[in-house]
Amino acid sequence: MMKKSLLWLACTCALFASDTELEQLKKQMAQLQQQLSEMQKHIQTLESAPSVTVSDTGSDEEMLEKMASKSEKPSVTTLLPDIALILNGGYTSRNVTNTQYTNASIPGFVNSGDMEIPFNSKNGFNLNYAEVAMSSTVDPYFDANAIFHIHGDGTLEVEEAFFSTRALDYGLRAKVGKFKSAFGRVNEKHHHAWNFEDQELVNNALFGPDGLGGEGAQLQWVAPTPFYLMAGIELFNGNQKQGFSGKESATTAVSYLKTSTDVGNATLLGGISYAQGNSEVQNLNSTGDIIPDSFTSYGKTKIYGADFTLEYPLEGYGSLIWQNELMYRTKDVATMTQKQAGYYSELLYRIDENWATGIRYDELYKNQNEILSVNDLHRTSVKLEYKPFEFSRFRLQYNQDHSRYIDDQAKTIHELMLNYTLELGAHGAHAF
Amino acid sequence: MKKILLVLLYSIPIFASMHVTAAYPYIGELVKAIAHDKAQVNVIASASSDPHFVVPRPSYIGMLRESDLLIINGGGLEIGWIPPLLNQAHNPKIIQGAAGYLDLSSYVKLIDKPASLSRAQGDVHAEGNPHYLFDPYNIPQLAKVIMFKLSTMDPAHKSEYHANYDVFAKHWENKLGQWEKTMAPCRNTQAVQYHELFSYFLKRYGIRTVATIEPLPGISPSSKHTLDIINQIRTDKIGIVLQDDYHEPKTAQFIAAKSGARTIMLSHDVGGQNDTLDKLFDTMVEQTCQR
Repeated sequence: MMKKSLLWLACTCALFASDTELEQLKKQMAQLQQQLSEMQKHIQTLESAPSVTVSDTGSDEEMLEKMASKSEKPSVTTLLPDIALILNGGYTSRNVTNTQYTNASIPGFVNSGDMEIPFNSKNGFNLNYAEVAMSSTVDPYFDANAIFHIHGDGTLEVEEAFFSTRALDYGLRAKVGKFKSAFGRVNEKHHHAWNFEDQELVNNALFGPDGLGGEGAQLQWVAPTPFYLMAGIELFNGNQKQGFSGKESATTAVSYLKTSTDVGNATLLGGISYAQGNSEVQNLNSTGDIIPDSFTSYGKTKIYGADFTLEYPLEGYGSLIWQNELMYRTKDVATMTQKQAGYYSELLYRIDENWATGIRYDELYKNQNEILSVNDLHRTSVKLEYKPFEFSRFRLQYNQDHSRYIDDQAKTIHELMLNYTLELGAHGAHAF
Repeated sequence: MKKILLVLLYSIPIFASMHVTAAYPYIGELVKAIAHDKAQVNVIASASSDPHFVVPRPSYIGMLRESDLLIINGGGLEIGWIPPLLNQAHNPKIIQGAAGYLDLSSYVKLIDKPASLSRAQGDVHAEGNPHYLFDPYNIPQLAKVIMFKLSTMDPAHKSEYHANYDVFAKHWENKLGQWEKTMAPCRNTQAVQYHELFSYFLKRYGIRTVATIEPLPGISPSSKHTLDIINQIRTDKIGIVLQDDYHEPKTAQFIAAKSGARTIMLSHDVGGQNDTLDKLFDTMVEQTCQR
């Protein structure tokens, strides 16, 4: 700009100037241009100086404070909890009617009429939930979280609401409130973080759709080892849906040990878990039949779990995950000690940042109970996922389900689900 | 007896040395340059993966459990993976707000701070562009911050930290002079990048980013957007397309083949062939400005 106007000035002057004056002007022009280029160089060196300059006096701590770039005043809204809204729903198609599906049973685990189906329960459209999650640091000592599900039918459910410590020493952290147990690999995860649209069969059969947990307290310890080693204990109120007696207070105890190591590029994660609580030993009438909802004594429910995950990262955003979990339960009931066990194995292939696919096999392979001992309950699932972006996901899943009985008859259920999950707002990142 | 005492005294600093965890390799390099053997440095992320999406492996929890100091890049770059790790590490020394939590982004000026914030604009960072590492003039500033932090936490080795910093700063000043010379002919040129990753570097040396291969931050390339870029390169005679090593390079190669621009593969952190900070920038300078 400046150069141009100078040139223009020089030209107009030249029109009216004599030859000698022209020579002088040319000289002056050259001088001016030299000055200009020197100034430009100077500006460049000024620009390249670090953005923050510091006078070299004061203690190290003071110097550090001085160097911090002055950011704007934090607004009051930064003290509001982080709020996230998660929407999940979709379209479902099954070869059975809605009534048949909701009245189905898993023999020995869930009786007909007791089945709770919070997600994709109907043929056709389902709005599974709008999840509202809030979290914040309370003060220097505590963090707090609350997660609510507002279901399509208008019911509101407190998924979790708890506070945890920030400042305990020795690698300890305590948690109190209502929360999901860290038993096993998937129990703690929320629906939108599940690998498939529905819960793993063994988790569903033993603990119900909400998983193991509830109102309780937890203490976890991370060992001071160079590899990951974590131990935890938990205490919950007993809950009948989870296979315990809900009649007495905090009687369900959980403990677990988890460890992980990296082998080359691969990550191995393994854990063992144990849960124990009261079961209800129901009364029998004179003919030896169970009197429903009657009991005078408690037995024990014990659940043993083991899990193993292998994750192998591929080029770019791809990864291969092989995840497995096994559970074994003994439960004292009126006439016997039930022995039941199941497992799942799933292989997940993340192709790139947009596409993922996976296959899962679920089986309840042991099922000694007093009603109907069938042990060929199993299910196979495949899925295909598309994520246009980090915060939206579409998932197509097909299940061939041999785990349910309808009207006391084994019935193979075919189901096809297309679901969406959208995450809005400040949602905390998920753990491994 | 005296000798034994001396040996004991000398051996204490080895056991007492600070455990520092660096979020990214370049931070680890800076800590090593300042601390030498006076601190044990662990690095979480690697140069081969997207710095935004590091898998929060449980082994990092063990690392963080034992740390006295955690140094992060900040500016929202680690938002997707550091919080769950910190949450599980149960180490009050390094949680946000503690003395052992150092966010380097608080000590540099971030560019491209969005005027308005909406995820309709893709994955925008509210704080501005977090890839400030690529302005080589920020590096001594970061080294200085680390020097003061280490000196505050470990005053016994203060003089060493200061001396090491002086050596590093002097060396870096030399390098800055060299790079300035090499980059000078490329001033006032234009470039295309995949993501706004090398913006600080390009801005520093007067190269304007006219387009990104991803239509919006975090969104994969679309064919229409790619064709637009090819046309723009042809009409504006843009010479270079900068490609990082974690996004797919096919789109950049396609653009280069169709438009005649030169694709440059650049590392986004210290590692692999560019295993020092010097090499990282040397390569970047050499590749970007070939005259």
